[in-house]
Order: sequence, then structure tokens, then C-alpha cells
Amino acid sequence: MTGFALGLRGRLLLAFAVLGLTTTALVAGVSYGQARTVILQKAQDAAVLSLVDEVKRLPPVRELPPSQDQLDAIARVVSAGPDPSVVAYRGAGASSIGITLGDIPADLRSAVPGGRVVWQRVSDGGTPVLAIGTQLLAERPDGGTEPTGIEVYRLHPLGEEQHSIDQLAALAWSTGAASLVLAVLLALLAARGVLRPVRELGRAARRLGEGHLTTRATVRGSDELAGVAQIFNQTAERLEHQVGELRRMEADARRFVADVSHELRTPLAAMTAVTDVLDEEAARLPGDAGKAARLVSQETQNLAHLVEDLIEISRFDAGTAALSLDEIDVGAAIRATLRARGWAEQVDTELPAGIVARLDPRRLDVVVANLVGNALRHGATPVSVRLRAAPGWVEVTVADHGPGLPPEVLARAFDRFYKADSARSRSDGAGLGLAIALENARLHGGTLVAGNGSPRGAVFTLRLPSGGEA
Amino acid sequence: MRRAAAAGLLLVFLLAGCGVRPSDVIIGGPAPVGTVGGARIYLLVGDEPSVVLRGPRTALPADVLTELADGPTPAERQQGFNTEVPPEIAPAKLGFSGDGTVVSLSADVDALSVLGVVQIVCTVQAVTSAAPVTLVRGEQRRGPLTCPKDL
Repeated sequence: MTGFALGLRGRLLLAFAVLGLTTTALVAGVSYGQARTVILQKAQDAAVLSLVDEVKRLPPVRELPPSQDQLDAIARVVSAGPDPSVVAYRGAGASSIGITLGDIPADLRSAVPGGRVVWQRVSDGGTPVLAIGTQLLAERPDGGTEPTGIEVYRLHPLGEEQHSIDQLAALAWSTGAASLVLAVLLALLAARGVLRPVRELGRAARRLGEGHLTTRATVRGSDELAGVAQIFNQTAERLEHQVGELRRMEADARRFVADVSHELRTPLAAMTAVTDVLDEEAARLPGDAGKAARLVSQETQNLAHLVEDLIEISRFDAGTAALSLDEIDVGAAIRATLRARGWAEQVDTELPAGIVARLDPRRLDVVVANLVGNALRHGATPVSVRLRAAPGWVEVTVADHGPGLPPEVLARAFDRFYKADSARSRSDGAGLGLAIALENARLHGGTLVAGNGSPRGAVFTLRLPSGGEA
Repeated sequence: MRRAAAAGLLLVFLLAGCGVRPSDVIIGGPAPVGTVGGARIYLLVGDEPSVVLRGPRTALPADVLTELADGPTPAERQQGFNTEVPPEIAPAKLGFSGDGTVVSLSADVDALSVLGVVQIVCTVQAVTSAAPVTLVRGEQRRGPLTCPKDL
């Protein structure tokens, strides 16, 4: 509509104000004009009639051309009223009381010999004055009339009419102002009526966007805005239903995995016991039977690890994983982890002593073992582990010198059962290690970030709050 | 832009329409008619026959024609009156025939100017009646004539 960036409120205000002003201006203007015309016409007609009447009733003129005495006599008669008058003969030889012929507009004087009563509104120093002029006609024996040349002029002040008209104008202006105020008030009211539901809808939409799926808009009345609110509510309901369904399905899937893991645990324990015996006997078994026994033993161990990992993940999913925090020397703990896995000689370490933090030592062990194990398996030596302390945080960096992580792997490195190399052998692990490491870091209120180092190699950075839970 | 122009126009219209404004000359009804006392003769102001009053209303028509033949007084001349009626028309005699008033003049009727004839006819009608006037001198005749309605 316009180039201005007006809000809904501004547009409504403008429209109402323009409408109110236009209507008032038209109505007030027209009625003012009408009233002014009526007032002026009435005053003018009365003044003209009065003059005509007085001239008609003049005593008969005895001298033509009139003598000065004759003119004076006529002037005395027509000046008896309150308005000043002047009498002239053929445009000259005036006899006047109060005014001179020069006070009469020249246009009017030149129109008087036409044989009709003429008048004209003029401004006399700001006050409007009605100048009236007429000639005295004489009756002829044949019924016709002829001009006598005697002219009568009168100035009738219109001050009172001016006052009345000014009052009318003031009334019109104040009506206009009042209607403008009323229009603005109405516009504000209308804007509030429209804007409040719109604002509420906006707020509801924002809350829905923030994830509050139970948000509903209030439906008022049955107008278009109520329709929009209704559609919004229907959409939100469907969304809530579908998201709930998805969540339920995901929870079901997780519970299934947890249940299966638990059910597998008992038979696995029995199998482990059997394979332990088999391991001892394997050396004595001949050829293929010994190989088979060792293979069964190895796969059973892998399966036991997988089930343990699954149970761990299930705990995180169920929210039952708990921290058991302890004041520990982080450097010493990492060193113990490496030593326990037999990696102490393969890894460059930079573990300053005396960095103490409140952490869960078992979970720190799991994370470090996962990260270093991954680096040793998939990266290239030398693998380095660095520990740094920042105010409120401890930071453990595990880096290798392998080819690094391609972007598509980087984005999914922490996904469950994700394997960067689909050709990787099964025995390398199920792909749950990094997922568990991330869950452990989160449980501490920390972060685990995968990235690429410079010039090459993958870098995993673990940041944990040193004061225990963040 | 257009809206602003319209609003401005409206405002100008409103402000200009306020108060009592001067007007042009307004032409109203016919001028009032009064009565005049005395015998009327018609002299000329420029080319216009104009009435002047002389003596009592009861004056004889022949005397009024003599007054007309005498022309404007010095005071009247000063005010712009003149005449085209030669003084030789007096003495005149008035009579009545079937078709109106017959005026016998002492001057050459055919030599009279149109305005002079109008002066004589109007003056005669003013003292006698509305009947048409015929000017004669011996065999010369002009008329019957009437005074123009609107002078």
C-alpha cells in the first residue's frame, strides 16, 4: 500500500484518522457552508429590503435635477436608521451623512444605473460590510418606469453575522478535533482487539517452536483469527501426537535392547565358564578341534563385551547411570589406565602431576581406554595423551598421526554402531565405544569433541569440570 | 503522495472557506419606484433622454413644450444636460384626432433629429396621455410615435 513500514496498529490508526477527518471535514464543511450562506443571505436580504422599502416611501421628488437641499432631504430620510447612507445624482453631487461616495465600491456604483438593486460584500479594514446601491425610478403615466438619476447607497456592517459564522467555524473545528480523538481511540481499541490474539498466537507459536508441544492458543469468538488459532491448535495436537508416538517407539526399541541384553547375560556367564574350561583344554585338543575351541572362546568374550556395552548404554538411556565422584589425581589415573591395558610404552604422555579433580574414576578409565584404544587401532603411531588444567576444567587430548577423520565420519563419529570403514572386521568392536565415552563425558557435565589435528591425525578432546558436576 | 495532496487540498479548502468573504456585485430585483411631482420634460444626457422636472404638474401641455424648446438651464447644462430640440418649435399647438395626439410645431418637422423627436414625443406623452403622438407642420407629418418603454 505505501512505502512506509507501518505496523498493523499504525495502519489502523492512519485509516481511522483519515476516515474520521474526511467524514467530519465533509459533513462539517458542507453544513458550515450552508449555514453561512443562509445567515449571510438572510442578513443581506433584510438589509436590501429595508433600503428598498425606505426609498419607495420617500416623499415625491420635486426637483430634477435635484438641488442640494433636495438631496440633503432624501439623505436625511434614508439615514434615519443605524446604517450610514449616501445619496447621489448621476454618480456625482453626493449628499451624505457619515460616509462619502468614495466609500462605495466603484464596481457597485457602475452597476447602479442598470435599474436594479445591487449589492456587494466588501471588507472594510477586516470587518465585512454589505454595500447596497439602487436608483430611484419614477413612474410614467403609461405604466412604465424611468430612472430619475437619484442614487441611494448604504453600507450595512456584517459584524454580527461574521461573529455567528466564526462561532460556527469554531464549532466545526472542535467537532473535527473531537472526531479525530474519537477515531484514534476507536482505532486503538480495534488494534487491541486484533493485535492481542495475534500476539498470543505468536507467543504460542514461539513456545511450540521451543519444544513445548502441549502449547495451545486461546480461541476467542468465531472470526478469522479464531480460525487461525483453531488451525494452530489442530497442528500442535497432531505434532504432539506424532512426536509422542515416535518417542514411545524409540523407548520401546531401547527397552527391547536392554531386555535382550539382560536376558543374554545369564547364559553368557554360563558360556564364559565353559569357554574358560575349553581354553585350558585347547592346548591338549588335536588340530582343528583346538582351533575351534579357541575361536569359540574368543567370540564368547567379544559377545560378553558387547552385552556389557549394551547394558551400559541402556543405563544411560534409562537415566539410571549414576556418578560416583572422588577427588583423584587425573594424571595418575590416566597413567594407571594405560598401564593396566599395557599401552604405557606405545603412547607419548604429557601428564603433569598435581591436577586434581572430582571425577568418577571408573568412567574416566572407560573414556580414556576407549579413546586411546581407538587411536591405536585406527590411527597411526605416535599416539599422544595430554592433560591440561584450565580454571574449572580439566582437558584431556588424545591425538594420533593417522590420516585423520573425513568430514562425513566426523559428523557421525559418536553414533551407535557406526563404523567408519564398513570393511572393518567384526572383531574390532561393535562401534559402541565412542558413544559410551560421549555419554560418560555428558554425565560429568563435560564435552567430548572429535576433530582433526595439524598437520594430520585425529584429535579427540575431552573436557570435564574439575569441581565434579558442573 | 496523492493522499498528502488530497489532504492539503482539503485543508486549503477549509481555511479558504472560513469567515465572510468579499463578493462580486450581486444584481437583485428591480429598483424601487417613487413618485415625482411636477411637469416632466425630456432633455439629453449624452445620447440618453432623461427626465427633468419643471413647474407644477398642472401646467398646460403647450407651456411644457415651450419649456422644452427653451432647453436646459445653465445649472442643468453644467450637470451635462443638452437638447436636440430647436427653439423654433415653439409655439406649438396640441389637438386630438382619432389615432392620438396631434402636435403642430412651428419648425420643420422633417429636419428634426431622431433624439429630438423622442424628446418631444416623451414630453407630450408625459403631460397628456399614453396615446401615440403625431408631429405635424402644414403637410409634414411624423408619427404616430410613442415614447420608448425603457429609457
